[in-house]
Amino acid sequence: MTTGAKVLGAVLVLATMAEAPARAEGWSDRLSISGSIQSDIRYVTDTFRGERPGQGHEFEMNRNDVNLRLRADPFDGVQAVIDTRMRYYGFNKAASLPELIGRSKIDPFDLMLNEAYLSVRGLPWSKMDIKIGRMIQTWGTADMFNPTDNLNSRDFSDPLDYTGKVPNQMIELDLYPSDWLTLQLVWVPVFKPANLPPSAVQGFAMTYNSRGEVTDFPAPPLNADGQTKLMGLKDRLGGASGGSDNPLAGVHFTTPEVRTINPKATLANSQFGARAKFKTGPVDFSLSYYYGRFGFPVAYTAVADVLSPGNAPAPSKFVTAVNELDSTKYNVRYIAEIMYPRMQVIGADFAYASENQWVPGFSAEAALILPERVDFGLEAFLDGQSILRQTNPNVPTTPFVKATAGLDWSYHDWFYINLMYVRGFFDEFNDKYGIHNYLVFATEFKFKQNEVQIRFAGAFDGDDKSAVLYPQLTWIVAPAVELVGGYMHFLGETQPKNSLDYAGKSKFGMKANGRDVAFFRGKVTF
Amino acid sequence: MRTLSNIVGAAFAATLLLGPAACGWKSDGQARLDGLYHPDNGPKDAVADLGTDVVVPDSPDGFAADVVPADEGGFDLSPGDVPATGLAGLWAVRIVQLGEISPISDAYPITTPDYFLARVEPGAGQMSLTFCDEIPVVDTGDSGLAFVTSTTPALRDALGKVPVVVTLADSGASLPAQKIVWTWGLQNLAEADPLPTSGTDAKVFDQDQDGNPGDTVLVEGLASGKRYMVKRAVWNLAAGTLSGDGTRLSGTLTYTLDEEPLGADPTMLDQKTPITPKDGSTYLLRRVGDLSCATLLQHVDEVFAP
Repeated sequence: MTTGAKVLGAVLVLATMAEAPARAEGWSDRLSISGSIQSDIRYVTDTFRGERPGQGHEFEMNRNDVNLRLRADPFDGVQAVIDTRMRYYGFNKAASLPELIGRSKIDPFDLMLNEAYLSVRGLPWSKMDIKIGRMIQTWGTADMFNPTDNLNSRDFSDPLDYTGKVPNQMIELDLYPSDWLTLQLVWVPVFKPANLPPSAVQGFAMTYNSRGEVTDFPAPPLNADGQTKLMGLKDRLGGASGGSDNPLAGVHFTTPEVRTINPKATLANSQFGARAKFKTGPVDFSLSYYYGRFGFPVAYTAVADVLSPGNAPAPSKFVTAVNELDSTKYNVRYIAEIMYPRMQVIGADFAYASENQWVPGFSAEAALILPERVDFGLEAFLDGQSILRQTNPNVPTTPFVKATAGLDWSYHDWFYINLMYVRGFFDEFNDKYGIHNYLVFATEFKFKQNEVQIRFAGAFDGDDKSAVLYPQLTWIVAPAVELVGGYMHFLGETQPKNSLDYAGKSKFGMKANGRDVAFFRGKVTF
Repeated sequence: MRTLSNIVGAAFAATLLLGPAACGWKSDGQARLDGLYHPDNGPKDAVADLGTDVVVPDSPDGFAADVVPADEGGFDLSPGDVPATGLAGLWAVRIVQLGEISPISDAYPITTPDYFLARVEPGAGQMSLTFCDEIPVVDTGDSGLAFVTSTTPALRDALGKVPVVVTLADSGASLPAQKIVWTWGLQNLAEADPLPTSGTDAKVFDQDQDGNPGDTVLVEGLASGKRYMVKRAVWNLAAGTLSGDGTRLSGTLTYTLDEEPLGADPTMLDQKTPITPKDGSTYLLRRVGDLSCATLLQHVDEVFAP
């Protein structure tokens, strides 16, 4: 039995053991288990959004998830929650004979503890709750796009799921001074960054042609002066192309890598949030404050070490990988660093729900973000000598606003529509890429007493005119069993017209978003 | 209900007011690159990345080891055959200024050593000191309370390009008493002129070419960041005494030091913290065989051992 299976088994056994005597002592009402099983298979339908042209028409995912949630209420006012997920990925990763002996490579999996916390209600004051442990917080009233929701970083490991979050350990105090006001204080000692999708590496990847040659390198966040300097370097490297149609044919890139700079686990780097929620009739609104870091990384430094054809790597030994050189070409090693800037967020949100079926519900949410200034630094060495140095602000100190405003309306049980204006996508932080404006929509038609649902969702970037479309067909086979087929399609240019223009990247067109995929999913909940 | 509303309203109003003031954060990518890829500059540039750890993946060529500054240049404290007369040769120079500083309310002793290298040609009438670094130490008497000021690589490079000239006498055989004026980030300034108080003053120039007025120093302490400043040191050197073996030239000095802040990041560092000179300042020149700034700074105790 594998380690993960043992852990999951132990959770189940403990739950069963707890339940057995509980029945005798009347504890059966104090324990509950819920969960789901989900199988998900996806197929890449494009051949141009991968690392190299022609890649595609293959299975991207063959996944099985088991989710279990155990809730215990051992005493009045005390609650414990464990929420786990075991995920089998469905692709053989064994690459050598010894790896075929064990199951972990042939059938890779992981075990996640989504939540594990203790909640004590009414202590030390009757109108106060304390929660401690691994939790996921959700702040804000808008649908999904919540700029005030920053305590947990986003989990985008699944490109089709924009709702996931990275759980974290925290302490939460809830105060209920009146029935219309809730005060919430949350302290998160250690920062955890966002979980990025596998395609994220494409955001910093070289561009290759079908011959496997590098045709371009990722655009750093440079101003016009820096772009001119970098163009000069590119032209210089192009001198070794030997008349090829690819100007960089004479360049050999060795082991490009992107390093992350993580905050130290100090008190000053912990996160803190405070929120006041008000409920007045049909309107819910809240005010919030967050101190911490942005969960998505921003570009911080880049260094390129260039070695002329035939030169020995000694002069700039700290960058060039000695064992990967091609003596007939310019050898280039590229190392970039990304970091998580500090920020303060002052937020406000409200939601209005009318009892009149003809009046849509409204919600709006805005966050004023006070960011840490990040100056991007770029340096290039040629045979050990610094030949290019450039620095310019990537994130200015200027406060900026991210916001969502939307309405939703449903007609009986068979029609639903949700329209939202979103300023600032999840990963935007007013760096050189800027803050874009989006129209996000979702509409559903339901038939046969909701057994069949057609959903059409998508998002449109009003700044660069790119879009993502996400149609789905759902069949509710039984009350807790659903089968879903769908498709995710990206519209937009995969490469900017000016390859050195950081802001010229198409939001939904760039490869970092992932592939066009068709999917089929089955899920049962219990 | 009104009371609670007032409390909540006041809390958020305070947040709105204090929030922007608390944002003095900055991460400087160029300073980080200097620290990583310019070994001479040393690891002190990490001050630009306060509060962060770099996660370096396994690297085939051992990146982590290579970011440690290399000991470039020779290290030979033996001057070889010392000429019978004259100061010809390579010298390591330390000028130690003792004083008192009040970065908060209390006054603390401060020791400010400036390190230089100087080569004297036979019979030359002067020696030119090339700046290596200035490493002030504030003695607060409390290990938990520190005020550290350090130079940037760009500042060291910029100051190194402007030698400090020391006049020699007796055909280059002795160092007579003399006054030396040494400025940072200033041009066309008479000795009696007051220091400019604005970064736009024509007498101020961006000596370290970092886009900020004057020179930039790094500050760590109750607040950390960068201070942009100009400075004028006036050294009144007493005549130097050459040791019997001709390897050490030493003397005393009195000095005045004027500094003017021209901005800071965060702004709370934009404060004038005058240094009051105290008695006991000295200078010492050690004749050496082969030495670079990097090796001098790594072996200062050994180089200037009694």
